[in-house]
Amino acid sequence: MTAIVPHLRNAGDATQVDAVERFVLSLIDGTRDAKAIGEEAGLELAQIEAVLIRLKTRGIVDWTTAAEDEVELDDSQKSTVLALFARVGQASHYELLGVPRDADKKAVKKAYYAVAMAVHPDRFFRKKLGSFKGKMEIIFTRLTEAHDVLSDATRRAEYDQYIGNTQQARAIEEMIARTAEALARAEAEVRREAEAAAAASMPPPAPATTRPSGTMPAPVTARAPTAISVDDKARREALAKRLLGNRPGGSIRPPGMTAPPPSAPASSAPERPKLTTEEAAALLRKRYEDRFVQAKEGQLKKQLKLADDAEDRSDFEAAYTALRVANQMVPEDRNVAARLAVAHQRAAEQLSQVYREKAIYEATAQHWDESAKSWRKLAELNPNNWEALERAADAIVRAKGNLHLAAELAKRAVDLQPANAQVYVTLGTVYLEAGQRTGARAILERARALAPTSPVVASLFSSVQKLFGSEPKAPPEG
Amino acid sequence: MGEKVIGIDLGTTNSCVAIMGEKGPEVIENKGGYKTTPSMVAITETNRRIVGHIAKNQAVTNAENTVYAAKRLIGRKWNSPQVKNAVATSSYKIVEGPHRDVRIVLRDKDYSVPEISAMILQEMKVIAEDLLGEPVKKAVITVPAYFNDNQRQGTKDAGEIAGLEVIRIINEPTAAALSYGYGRNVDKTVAVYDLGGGTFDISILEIAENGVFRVIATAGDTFLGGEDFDARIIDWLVQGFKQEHGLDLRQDRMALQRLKIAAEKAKCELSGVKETEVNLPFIISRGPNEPLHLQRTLTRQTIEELASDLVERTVEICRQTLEDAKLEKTEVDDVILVGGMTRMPKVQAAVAEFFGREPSRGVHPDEAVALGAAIQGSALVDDGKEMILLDVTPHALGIMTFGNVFEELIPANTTVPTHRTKIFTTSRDNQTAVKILVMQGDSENDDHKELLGEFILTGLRRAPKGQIEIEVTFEINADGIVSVRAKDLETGLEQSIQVTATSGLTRDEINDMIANANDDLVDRRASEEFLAAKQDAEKLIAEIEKLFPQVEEIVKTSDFGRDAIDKARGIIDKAKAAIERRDVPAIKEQVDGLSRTHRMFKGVVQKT
Repeated sequence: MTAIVPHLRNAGDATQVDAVERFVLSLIDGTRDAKAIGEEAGLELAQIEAVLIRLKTRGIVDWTTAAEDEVELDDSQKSTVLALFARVGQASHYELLGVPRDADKKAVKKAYYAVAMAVHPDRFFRKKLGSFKGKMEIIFTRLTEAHDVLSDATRRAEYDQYIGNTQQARAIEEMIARTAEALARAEAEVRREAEAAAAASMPPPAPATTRPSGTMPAPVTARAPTAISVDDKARREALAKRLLGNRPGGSIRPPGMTAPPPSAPASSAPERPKLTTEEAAALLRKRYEDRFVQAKEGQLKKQLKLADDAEDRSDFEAAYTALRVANQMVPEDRNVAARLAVAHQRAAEQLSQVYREKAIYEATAQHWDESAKSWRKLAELNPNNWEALERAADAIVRAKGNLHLAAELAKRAVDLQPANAQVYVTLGTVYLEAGQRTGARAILERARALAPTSPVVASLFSSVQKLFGSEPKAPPEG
Repeated sequence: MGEKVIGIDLGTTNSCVAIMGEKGPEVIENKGGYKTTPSMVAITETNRRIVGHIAKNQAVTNAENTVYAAKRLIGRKWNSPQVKNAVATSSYKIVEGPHRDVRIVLRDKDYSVPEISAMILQEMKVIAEDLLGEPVKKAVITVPAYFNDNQRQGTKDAGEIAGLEVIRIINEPTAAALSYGYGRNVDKTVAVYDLGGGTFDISILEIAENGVFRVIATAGDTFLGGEDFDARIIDWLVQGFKQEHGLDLRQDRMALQRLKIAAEKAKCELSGVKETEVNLPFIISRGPNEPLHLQRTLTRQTIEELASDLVERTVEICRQTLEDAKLEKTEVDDVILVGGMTRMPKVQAAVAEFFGREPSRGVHPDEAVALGAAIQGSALVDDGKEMILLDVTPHALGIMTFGNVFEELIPANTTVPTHRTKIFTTSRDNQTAVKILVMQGDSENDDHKELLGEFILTGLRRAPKGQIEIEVTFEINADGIVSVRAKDLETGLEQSIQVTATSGLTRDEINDMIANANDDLVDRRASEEFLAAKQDAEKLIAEIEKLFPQVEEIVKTSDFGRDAIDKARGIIDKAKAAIERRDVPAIKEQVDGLSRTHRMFKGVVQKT
């Protein structure tokens, strides 16, 4: 009996798995066999095997059979190899060797030799290594590549550039995700400042600067220099006292839009005209609104300053984020809107450049999965970039990825470039790949109409035709 | 301690065997007390194989049946220029084999080159077994770093024919570096300059404190060595003789063989002295009564002039290799000299000048390689040894693509094990099959690529050219085995081969040769026994025959005495017949009878 020992594959796309599949995935460690996983999961072996087969067809897992895999390694040796093997695909050269980014040649070499000593198949010459031999050789090849790249100044610089691109892209993505958050925070800040200021600055305008926690470290807004940090509660109490005539034991309400009419008998307030509750409420509202405008202006200035600084650094993504916040505050401000448009353009260009370089590097390295992702991100950024859409579709096909998605992207490219034979070719290829001969023929006919002399189109077309002609008998030729 | 693994340096002119002992690696001396054994094989008049010093000693009188420098022919094709050169200059006969390979004719019998090498390996094996007193089965054998796959395979085949399991083939300069770095705990970058009898190698290695030996770059010339220096001297002697006497010594095989030996001797002497005399009386005869003699003085300066381009070539290869290794001369911490030719002062001076430092005297130029092989052998079988050897592939590997364009997948100097992948497309419309030609870059000629193997990937979809993508993966595993896989990316169909380089022999031929070599080994062991028994018997016969007249005189009157004499004569006849038949058990049986007779005869003579 041969037992299946599944292991995770690096290339696998594990984003679209159902709950059972995810559960099974979580139990795969490269040493458990299907039976053990079943016991652990409380599922029948047949069920586990079915799940594993599904996962294997999607390239998420793979396995070796234990019977043919006679391995004379102890558990710690095995786990060292498996742990390294699992990281071969994803880890950077630095991570794989376990050296810092600024490691010098000597440190790189030392790390390489140390890991090589642990995984080189020659160290286990007399042992049976089974499937581990191949794994060790793959790890060793990757280690050597890491060492060779990091020991060569030119290659290392290229690699760092690539890593930098990847990280930059990730940072920008995070920043964009944070834009909405920053906006919400800015609004909340404005509101709170307005509230606090309105409350604290009864007749003599009070210097109430709050420093709400969690705001971005930003230049202090141009506000009253005599800022005294006062506890919110204490300030509100003081406000209420003043407004309501020092009503003892008065319940403190949050300074909302409308304060409930106080019903206590007013004690003598010698130097001040007595206010009715309505008047007090109106006054409070007015103060609040004034301060709101003031706080908003402060925030606006802050964001514009952030934008200026970011532009000075040529950090167009950060500038864009700040300007978007500013624009939300003063949608009517044409100046801000214009700056936002420019920043958007520049940020998109900058990010696009990063994605494009990344996508091309990945395509050169035949990391089609990654390349498809980068092209798609480029397309998201530039919805009218037909090339990104078309390349993304092409990369998905090469990565054996989701053909529906590829078709969708290619269709969008077609919509954008209805007179470009190239996009039809890609869409046609997607259809062909998906086995949709009719669709492929229709699309390629259009391509042929557009580029009647193109040999590529003609040949692709003829191969579709042949697919029709040769069906159902397969053409077995030697 | 694991099983014993011997390390064999199978050299062009001399071979050496070593083993890991208690105190470290040791070279094993042969019966004559020499640490190296000439890589020479001969077939005697009585059809006996002889190897080593005895083969060398009879080379002059048996020039046509004595093979030297067989290593230069191993794994080579009949039509290669190197073989053509050897055919023209060798005193033994080289013919074409059945697979465009090379055969050597000795006493009307064809031998493949691996078979000849196997005889030397077998000799080395026996030397080790005699010392250890037990059979040796495993070996690490060294080859020049610049040997290609076929040459390596030929060496491996030779090992197998000799009854050895070759657990690893390693490169000679790498082996030398192992013996240099073994047990020294150094952290250095070293250059190994290996100029042997037939080949030149240069390797740049890194030796790290934790037991890692990593080759950074290697290069060489498999047809540049001591033999070429000898050839220059022979040319010089032959030309001088021709000018003086108008006769070409090359026409006479025996003269050529004498010249060869004299040239080598003179070359070696000139490493120690400034001039030497080449004296070959009766080298040739002009007519029936006019013997001619060769007598010339050769100076060190002359030989240096004669061979200056050879030395220059090695320096040029050093320069190139340093460049490949991306190293400056100053980054090389030590230079190790290996191979007999590095004894030549001119060679030492050239190396010192190029690297800007005096070469290390740390390793023995004749023994370091075998010692390194023994070290690697013990590191492989002994799990406790914290040592690994990271070697490189000396030649680029790739496939031949449309229009005879070589597409490289694994470049030269890539650390093994390794694997590389590239995607190719079809080159013709409606192509349903592709032929994958696995090629290896050639050491001597950049334009020429050696075919290592081929296979066909079929079942491709009919499509215009350039549309079907084929993913080709090359893999070299830790044992140096190359495998190649081609995959149709559209259908996922896959074809692969393990490249089994050919030494020019088929599997069946190798099996036959293994059987023959075993027979020969049994025969050889038996012949030692035979000789011993024969000597015993002949000694007794001689003593008995000496006593016959006396005994006959004493016993002539007695019938009993006559019987005894007839019986003694019978035993002697039987013993002689047994010796004639080389029947060892029968001889031994007769020896018993002979010694009884001898005792009796002596008793009879003494009594009277």
